[in-house]
Parts: sequence; C-alpha cells; structure tokens
Amino acid sequence: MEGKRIYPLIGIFLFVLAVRLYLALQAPAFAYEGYAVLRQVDEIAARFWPLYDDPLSYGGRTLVFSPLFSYLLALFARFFPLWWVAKIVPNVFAAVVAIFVYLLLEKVTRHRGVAAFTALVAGLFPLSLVMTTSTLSPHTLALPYLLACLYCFLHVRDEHELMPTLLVMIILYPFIHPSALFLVGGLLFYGLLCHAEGLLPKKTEVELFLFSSLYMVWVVFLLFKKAFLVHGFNVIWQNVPTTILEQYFEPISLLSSFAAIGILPALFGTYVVYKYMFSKGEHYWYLFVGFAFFFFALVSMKLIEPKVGLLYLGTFLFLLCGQFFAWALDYVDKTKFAEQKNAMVAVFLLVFVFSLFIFPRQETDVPSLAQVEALVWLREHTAPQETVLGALELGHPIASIAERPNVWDSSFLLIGAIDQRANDVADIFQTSSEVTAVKLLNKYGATYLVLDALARKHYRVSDLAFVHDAQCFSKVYEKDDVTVYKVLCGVREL
Amino acid sequence: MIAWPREKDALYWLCSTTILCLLLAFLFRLPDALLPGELPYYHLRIAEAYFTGWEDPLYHVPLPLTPFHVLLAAFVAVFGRAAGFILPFLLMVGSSMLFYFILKERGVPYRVRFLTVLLLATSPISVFAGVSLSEASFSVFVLCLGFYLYLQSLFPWSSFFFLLALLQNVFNLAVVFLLLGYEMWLEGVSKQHTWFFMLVILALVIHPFRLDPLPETDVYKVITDLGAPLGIGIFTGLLLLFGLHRLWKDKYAHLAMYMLGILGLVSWFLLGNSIAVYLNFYFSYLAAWGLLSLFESIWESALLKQFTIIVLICGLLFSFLSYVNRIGNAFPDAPMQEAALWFTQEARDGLVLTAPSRAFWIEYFGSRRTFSSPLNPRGEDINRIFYSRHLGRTLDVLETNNIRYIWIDRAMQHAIWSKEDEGLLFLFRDKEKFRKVYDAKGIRIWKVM
Repeated sequence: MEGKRIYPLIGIFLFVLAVRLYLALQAPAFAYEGYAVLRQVDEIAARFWPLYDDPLSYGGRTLVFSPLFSYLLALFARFFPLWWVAKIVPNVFAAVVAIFVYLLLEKVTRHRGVAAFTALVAGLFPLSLVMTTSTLSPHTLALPYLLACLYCFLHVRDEHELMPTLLVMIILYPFIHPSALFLVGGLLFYGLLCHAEGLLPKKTEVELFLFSSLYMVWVVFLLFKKAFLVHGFNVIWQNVPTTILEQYFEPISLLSSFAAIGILPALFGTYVVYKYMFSKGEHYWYLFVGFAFFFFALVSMKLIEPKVGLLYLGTFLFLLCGQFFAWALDYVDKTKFAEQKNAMVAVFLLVFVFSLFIFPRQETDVPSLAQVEALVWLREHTAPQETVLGALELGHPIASIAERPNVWDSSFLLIGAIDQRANDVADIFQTSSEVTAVKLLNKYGATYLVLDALARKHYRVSDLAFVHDAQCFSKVYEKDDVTVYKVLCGVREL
Repeated sequence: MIAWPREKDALYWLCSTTILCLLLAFLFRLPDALLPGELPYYHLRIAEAYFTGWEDPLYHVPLPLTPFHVLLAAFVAVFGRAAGFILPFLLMVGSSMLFYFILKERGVPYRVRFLTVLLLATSPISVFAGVSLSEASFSVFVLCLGFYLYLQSLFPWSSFFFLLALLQNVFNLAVVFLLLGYEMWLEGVSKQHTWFFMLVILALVIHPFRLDPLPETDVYKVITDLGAPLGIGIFTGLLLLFGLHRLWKDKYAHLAMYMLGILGLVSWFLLGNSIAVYLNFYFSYLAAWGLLSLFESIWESALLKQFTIIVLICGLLFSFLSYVNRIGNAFPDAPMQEAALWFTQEARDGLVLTAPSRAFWIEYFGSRRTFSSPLNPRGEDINRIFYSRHLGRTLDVLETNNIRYIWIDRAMQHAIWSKEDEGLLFLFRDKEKFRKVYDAKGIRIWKVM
C-alpha cells in the first residue's frame, strides 16, 4: 500500500482508537454481560479450553457459544494483564471498523476525503461507542470482520487474488459469533436486489454465497446443536424469559434510532437507499443497500436485539452516507459556490459531527463501585459453594467478581423452565411472606441475597418485606445502596 | 473428481451402507436394548396377543387384524421380542434396494439412483423407520415390492402385494391410485390397469378405513436438526431445493412428480408423521438430483466447489449422526421399563393415569390398562385432572373413571406443569388420598387411596 494511502489510514485508526480508549479507561468496570466473556478469557488463558460446563452460572450448567473471540483475548492475556487486555484489545478491534469503512468507500467512491471523514465518524458514532467500548462484546470483532469480508468479496468479484484470504475468513467467521449468518442474510438481500434491478450476479458471487451459506449454517448448527434441539427456531430469542422479553426486544422508535446512529447519517443513508431503489447504480451499492435492508428487516421483525441491529444498520448507513457526501461534493462543483467549497465542507462537517451527539448520550451499563465492592466482599467472606441471588444483570458479575454460583444470569440458552425461574426470582424480591421467600431461596440453593439499585428498580421495591426475622435473615453487608443478606433458615415439608 | 463405483458393484455398496447406518443406530440403543418410541410397544403387544386369541387381553375388544401385525406375529414367533428390532431393519433395507431397482426400471440415470439410496440410508426418517417398528415401514416396503413387480409385468404378484398394502391402511389406497395414475400418465392406459382398478374397488369394499396411528405432526417441526421428532435434515432440505431447481429446467417433464410432491406434503401435514416415511423416498430422489447437479456443475473456482461439496457431505453426516444420537437417547429407557414392570406385581384393578405417550409402555411391560393413550388421547379429560387443584372434584373424576394409579416421570412433569405445586402435583400433598408407591430414578407412581 502506497504511503499516500496508508498514512491517513493509520491516522484515522489511531484517532478512533485514542477516543475509544479515553472513554474505556474512564471506568474500571465492564458492562454486566462482559463479565461472562472475562471469565471465559481467564479460563482459556489458564487452561486453553473454554468453560463449556460452567459450575457457577445457574449453579452449574452447559454453555454453548462461539469461542474464537475469547481465544483471541486469551492469547493477549497470556502476555499482558487481563484488565488491560479486556480494555484495549476489543477497542482495537472496534477501531478497525474505521479502516474498512475507509477502504470500502475509497474503492467505491474513489474519493479519499469522503472515505476518511466517513470512516472517522463511523468508528465513533454514539451507539458504536456505547456498544463496544467497555462491553467485551464479540460484536466488537464481528462487525469489522463482516466489513473485511465484504471488502474481500468486492475484490474477489473482479480478481481472484484475495479468494484464499476470503475463504479463510469465512471459515473462521462462525467461530467468532453466530452473527456470521448476517453475511449470508446480507448477501441474500444483495442477490435479490440485483435480481430486481436486472443486474446479473457474477458466477463467483453465486459460488461464494453458496459456499458461505452452507458452511455457516453447518458450523452454527454444529456449535449450537443442543440449543437448536431444545429450543428449535426459538433459539433466535435466546430462551429469554417472557417476562423480560419485552425489555430485550423492545420496539425502537425513530427518535431512539436517530439518537443511536445520529440524525444526519440516518437521513442521508436512507436517502441513498431511496435513490438506488429507483435508479440503477453500480452493483456494490446494492451490496450495502442489501445489508442495510437486511438489518432493518431483522430489527423491525424483532429477530435481533435492537441495539445490536442498530449497530450494524448504523455502520451500513454510514457507508451509504459516504456516497451522499460524494454526490454533494460533485454537485457543489457544478454550482456557483464551487469556490467556497472548502469553507462549506468545513461548516457541514461540524454540523454533521454535532448532529451525532445532539441527543443525550447513552451510557454503557456497568456495575457501580458499590456493587463491585459488595461482590468483592462476598468473595472474601463467603464459602466458594455459597449460591448468591441478585438482579439479572448482576448474575455474570456474581460469577466473575464474587466467584460464587449465581441463581440466574443473562445466558438463558439451554436453561429449562426459565419462566418459572424468572417468576420465582420476582416472587422472592416482591413477597412479604417469609415462608415463600425461604422456600424459593431453598429451591435454588441460594444462601446470599443481594439487594441493589437494579433489583429495587426491576421489582419496584425499596426494601425486602420479609427480612425482619433476624433468626432467618441476617444483614451481613450494607454500603451505599447495596445490601447483602444471608439466609439462615430453611423450610421442610412435612 | 469423484470416483463412482461400477454399476454392477453399486448394490453391494448401497446395501452395506444402509445396513451400516442402521446398525450404528442400533448400537446407540444397545445399552438398554429397548425400541425407541411408543408405538412399537403397541404393535408388539397386539402381535403377541394373537397367540392368545382374537381378543385384546387388556381391553377385551377384538384385535386389529392387519397384514403388518400378522407378519410381526410371525416374526415374534421366530425371534421373540427381538422381532421388534429385526423386522423394521429388514423392511428398511428391503425398501431401499427395491427403490433402487424401481428407479432403474424407470430409466433414472445410475448416479441419481446411487445418490438417492445413499441419501435415503443416511436420512433421519430412514433411521427412525429402520429402528422403530412402524406400520408405515411395512406399507412402504409392500408398495415398493408391488410396484417393482408391476414394472416387471408380474401382475398377479404385484396385485397381491398391492392388496396387502391396501388392507393395511387407507392412505395406501391413495398411494396405489397415484402410482398407477402416474404410470398411466407416462405409459398410457393398458389392459392391466383394468385389473388394478378392479383390485382397488375390491379393496374399497373390504377396507377397514384405518390410518397409521402415529402422533400428529407439529407443522412447524419438520427439520430434525431443529428438534423435530421426525423429519428431514436441514442439508437434505437444501439439496432438495437444488434438486427442484435442476429439474425445473426440464419444464413440464416432471409435472406429475411435482403434483405428487404437493399431495404428499399436504398429506404429511394433514395425516401426521407416518406420511414422512413415504415422502422420504421422494425427498431423497430430489435431493440426489440436487447433489448430482452440484457435482456436475462447472464452477469458476474449483477450490470453492470442493469446499462446498465437503461442507454438504459433512452437513448430511452431521444431521444423520445427530439424529442417531437422539434415537439412542429416546424414551423409554431402563428405569421406565423397570417402573412399568412394577405394575405386574400389583393387583390388576383399575386404570393408570399418565401422559398418553407413556401408555403403551405401561400396557406392554406392566400389562396394565391406561386411561389415555396416543390412540385414545382424551386430552380434555386428562387436562381437567392434571390442572385441577380441587381435591373433591379430582377424586370424583378419578373414581368415576376407575383410575387407581398415577404415573409421573421427570420429562412428563416438565412438559405438563411449570410449577412444582401446580394442579395435581399440589393435590399429592394429601397423603391420605394419594400414596406414593414407587419412586425411582425420576419416576413416581401414586396410588389413589
């Protein structure tokens, strides 16, 4: 790659990475779900094998997941402290999004300025920062990986030089995350759009689609066999309890999607989609439009968590936005304002960046210091086999920070009678009957109960109504808004 | 390049592959040596009852007299209970080989024939049909045999086997009609057809109008990889689409076959799982065309083609092995047999209440009548008992129906109740009215006092 091209690329990457690291290092904690990944990374770094039979989650259960993301982090964790690896490496992955947005736009618009600016904002748009800075989510790797695959796909279409690279990438993809199937879905939509527009797909494209779809379906079935057999197609909804399914797949409003992606990119991207739907363009634009349609369909049909869907949809809207910028610049050149082009561009860029953050910024949900301290206390003052019950989000931190078995966490796949469990936990927090509470706590073998702001919010309680009997419940820890109770008694059926 | 076996050796290859696949499935069942599923135990009980007379010794009603049960009784006389394993095995191997010859007679290219039987051997439905006693396996075998003899112009023998199929169940009547209709479409009407239609009329006169009693299909569950109890593998499904795409190019040449397929699918959804055993042959044939078109297509990237074929073969094997493993773990298991045998020690009064799916095991091993079974589900009645928390009313229903025992196992409990104190489970707390008389390995039996 010649210097002219590589320096701006490195610059964009470093800038995006620097902003991300600045935000990531502000808080010592990770998102609640990130602690599940952290445990896997720790386990792989120590024993080279993921924790498929987890003794702590749900008091002991089987996990099904794609392990490559955890393996990659564990590779670094062999040489560097885990905390630093977990903070830095996912952000490096996420910053790579900017590189591939640049490369893709440079290839299709042949406009480096447009590619550079779009890459910069695509790497830093609000939802991307919320979803990938401190979450340890596999999507931090899966998203740039998808873009890399598309970059190779566009190359392979014209010349076969990158075919082996693309094949290796496709082979590894489902081992990162089952969202590898997004590639298949997006390519399918691309094919349909091309067909509708009368553009003949190249033979290589069809072959690649056939191979990738068969391969990915097979590997996903292989990795998640147990989950598919138990839940069937419902595996898409991850066995989320019905009582909290609404929270997971809450419908998204136009306003919240503007807040997540940014109002201007959403509008400009949609405009480009509209343009290409009614006038014939180059095939590669249909590739991006196809993917945007695919993610839009997934989100609107509630087949994917809205946040994840918007993260992907947003990235593709940014790619389409690049075309809008290219058009706008070409248009200005044809007007009387051509001489003031630079000033206009500068003002426009400022407005554009401002529009990204016009809505109140969402924060990544991370455990508070009080929660972390309570969990550390549990680790230091309880026996390793003591089961701890807390709010759903606290499940993974209980297993990771407190190193104690939890009653439940957000990995629902393969858990039997999950609705019953969710109802029981709600009953425990809301009941005023000591017998009911003790019976249910005994049922799950819970000996400690954590009442924090999350539990208070979810179950709409200020305190537990059944803990007044000191012989049965002892308040063993209290700091800020976190209280830990020890269960001292049991219920025996006569 | 794929090295195809010589045509004269093909039969040995296919026969041994089919036998190996079925033996593998048997191996997974070996630890308990019990037939998987519910219906095999019904069939075995009926076949064994033939030795005592024409009346069902449990329910005191006339025994169903079907060619399948007569054949099974003959096998039971020779092999004892092992007949339950031997008969479906032989029927499946026989059907596959006959189908190969039928395709040969119909002029289907060698490679398609070869792949059809290969896909047939590894399909989940064949595994099911080959290790689990079902009337459908018998019907398919007899139909294949009848049709093959028809193609060989051995009409008397062909009529005999068609008649057997017709006496077995009413669906076979439709199949014979369609097969002959298909032949007439292809070859034109001949004298022989008159004979066959007379045969059909004869069968209509003496026909018992019965259907195979396999459980109904959940229409959303046809992919075994997604947990369907009986259906096609996901890769067979994909190949089937490729096959249709390939044959579609021939325009109207296969119109009759498409119509048969549509009728078959509609029947599957309307009549239940037993139809899948018939359709399996059709699916395998289409999938074979799909696989062959993939083998023979010219790709721009040879590497990609090789990878795709490898993935497909791995996928087919994965579906097969995954299903074999499931068949291996299917109920009943040794603890269930043990629990059902416990009833033989008790006085033979009253009925046993359990989920319909458990009924045939209790009837066969425990020689005990049950309140409901897959043949007589009584869904509303058992739901009324299972979900009632009113002791008096429940006891009345139990008394009225002469129910003396209640069988609940772990899997059944999870399937029926979501709470441990829901409905009947709550009533079991009354130790005076319900006494737990058996509790081992997750199976509990209560006696109604």
